[in-house]
Amino acid sequence: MASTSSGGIPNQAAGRKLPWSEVIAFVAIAVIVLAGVLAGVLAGASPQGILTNVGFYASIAIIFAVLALGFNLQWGYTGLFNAGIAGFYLIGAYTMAIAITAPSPPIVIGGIPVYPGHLGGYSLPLAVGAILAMLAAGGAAVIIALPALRLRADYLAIATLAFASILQILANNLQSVTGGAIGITGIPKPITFVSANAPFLNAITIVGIGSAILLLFLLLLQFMAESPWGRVLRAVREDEEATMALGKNTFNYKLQAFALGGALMGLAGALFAVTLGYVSPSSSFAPAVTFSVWVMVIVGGSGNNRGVIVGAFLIYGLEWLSVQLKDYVPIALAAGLPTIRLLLIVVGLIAVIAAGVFVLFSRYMPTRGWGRVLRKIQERGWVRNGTIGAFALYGLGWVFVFLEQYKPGAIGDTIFYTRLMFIGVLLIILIIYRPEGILREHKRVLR
Amino acid sequence: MAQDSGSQTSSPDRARSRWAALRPTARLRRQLVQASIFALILVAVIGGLSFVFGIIVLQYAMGGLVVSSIVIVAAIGLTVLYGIRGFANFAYGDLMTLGAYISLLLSVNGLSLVWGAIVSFFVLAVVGILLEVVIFSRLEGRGPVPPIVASVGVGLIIQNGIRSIAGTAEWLYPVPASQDIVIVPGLGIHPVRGILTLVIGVTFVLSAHILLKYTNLGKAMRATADNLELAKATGIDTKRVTYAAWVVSCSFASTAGVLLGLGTAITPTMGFDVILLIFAAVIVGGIGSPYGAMLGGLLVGLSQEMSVPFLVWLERPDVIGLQFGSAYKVAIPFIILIIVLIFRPWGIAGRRPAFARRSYFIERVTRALGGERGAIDASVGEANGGR
Repeated sequence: MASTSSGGIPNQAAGRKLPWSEVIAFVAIAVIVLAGVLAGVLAGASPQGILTNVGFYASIAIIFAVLALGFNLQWGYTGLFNAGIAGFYLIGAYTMAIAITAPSPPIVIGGIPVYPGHLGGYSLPLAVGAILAMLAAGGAAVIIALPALRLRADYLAIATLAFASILQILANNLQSVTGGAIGITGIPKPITFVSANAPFLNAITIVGIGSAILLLFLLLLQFMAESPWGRVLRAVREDEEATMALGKNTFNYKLQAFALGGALMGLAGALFAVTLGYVSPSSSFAPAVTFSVWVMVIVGGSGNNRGVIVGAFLIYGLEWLSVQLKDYVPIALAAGLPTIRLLLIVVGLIAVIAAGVFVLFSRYMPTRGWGRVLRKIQERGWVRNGTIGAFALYGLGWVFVFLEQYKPGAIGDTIFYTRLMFIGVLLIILIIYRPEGILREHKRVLR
Repeated sequence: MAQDSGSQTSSPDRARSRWAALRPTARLRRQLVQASIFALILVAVIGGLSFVFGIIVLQYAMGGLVVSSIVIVAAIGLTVLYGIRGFANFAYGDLMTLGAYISLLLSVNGLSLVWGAIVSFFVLAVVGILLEVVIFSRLEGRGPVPPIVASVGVGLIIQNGIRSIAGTAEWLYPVPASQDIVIVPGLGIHPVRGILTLVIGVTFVLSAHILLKYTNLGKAMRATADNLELAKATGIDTKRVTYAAWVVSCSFASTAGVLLGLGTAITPTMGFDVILLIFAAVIVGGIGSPYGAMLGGLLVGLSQEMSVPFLVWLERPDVIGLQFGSAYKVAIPFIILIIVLIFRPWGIAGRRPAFARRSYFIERVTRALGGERGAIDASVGEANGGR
């Protein structure tokens, strides 16, 4: 930013171009929402139902965005690699649930304990619950950070992963506190509606509250990141020993960043508890949550607060869309199997021919007109990447076709797993080819 | 052995150096003494406990040894790769699952389980080389975090690929059913789940020891793990060593996966569920050190299994009335892990870095109380073992 705004030199002014990656990201989010709406229309849902569904998407994406902001503060700014995001998230959710629900005694039917009850029933206001959740998660972050922060990044990752999995064991087994495998239900909504439109109105209020909180913390984090405090964090990330040599107590800075990030994750957990209305030690707090947040931050560009929010909306959008399209993918595949097969053959042939033409005739290309464009395309390595991508898509397409042919319905059943596989592929590709993310961190130049 | 003494020693030494590797050096003697003291203490503790509480303790100790032998095989594989490639492979548990499923696939289709295990051993070795070539060689020299992220990606792909192909149902190996062999009344051991696992575990430990101590490749691996730059300068083909490390790591993973599947059921998450146990063993033993991994695996496996009677005792209403006490046994290794991270981050068997203080955490606290702002963190880089 500094290099373009300091301006005056024509070269730099010319360097300011349309942020294509941001445009693409926003268009992708819009396409995801539209596709979800389309799926709802196909399923014959009412307009209000579709809007509620989109609202659900937005509210969960906001929760993931808050998680991603917390992780971005820890990793993107300070370089502390946290593999236990799900743990802090769990602490926040359970603290909120314990603080704000009404008392729920154990249920025993015919001498068999059906529900063990849980700690709490304090019926506190929502804001108090959210603050308690942040305090609890931040405190847990301090406790885990004291021994682990002075270790190298991979030790921190292992220690936090261990922490998260201990918490999941506790949530599952410490029945008198957490309600065991059933968890805590009946968490009150921000406003209680009695009309028939209650789900819709609830979705609207939660999206409103969530986006207000997200905006608040985005502004706060932006301000903090630009302040001297944020500068020290980035210095710690780049070279901790040099920062120490400049007289900064880097351990304290790392501790502060880690605790604040943990508190944000706790806030996300509190939002989650209110949004869903129940918490249970199920897949909501599985390690897969942690990995999803990593993808969001890496996609969005670690060290870029706006970017990680876009990443959260994008990646959770894909997850949400996969659920919406779950019923339609097998139908579409079954109906269009011959077409898809033909298409795959054509795409494969085109890819082979195009790659061959480029490789064989590149040196005979004219230097003006279309030849120049083609040459530029080749110079940027788009041919190679495009060919690799086309072949990957091609192979994936055949896998789908074969699966559909020999095991009908398998794709619809396994779409959740396919989604996680896709996240894995995305992690690998991004970390190899574009570790700075789609919306990369702004280069800062000190003058 | 003849080419072992090769180019580095001058010719008069050659005759003597043939068995030089076997001659006990001062360090080896010290290690032997330490190991025997450790073994004596272990035997004394278990013996004392079983004398007080009865034979049931020995039964749990036996279970602990079986778990330990699985953990040790896995931990050696993980730590070898860690030492040479310098990153924590989070996909290791899923590689174990992959090995278990490959041998399951073969044994369901008529091959015997032994052949299935052997085939999956070699398949996983090839998978390891492919992983290095396709993914991890591109991430060299970019710090510890990018390879961790990529390995999590690999783990997600393997785990969910297995889920979508083989389903989420539990599988069992087609092993002939048999009763426990009763040694003493109250103390039995299963011929396959117990004895076979123990034997395979000991075999793998011995083969790892022979590979690392008595072959040129093992020497090169230890040198590379110790200091990559120095090893390169000495003329070691570190690329070859890296591939060897992947082969050893992944093939050990496959066998550990098969053993794990023998002990329990085969599920898509069986490997991921034990990955932290293996990490605990590796870190407790000192990261990157195979012998430490053996010790750490023993400690972690034994403590996990032998904590069960204690946790069951805690379940009694007159103690604290814990619910589902034995479910917490999986948390015990993590507690050991955290304690080791606080007091000895370089592991109980790892080499203490030059600048590390006597007790890390206590040092930190006293410094904080004394108000002296320390450069203690500067020694952290070395404190984290090896690289």
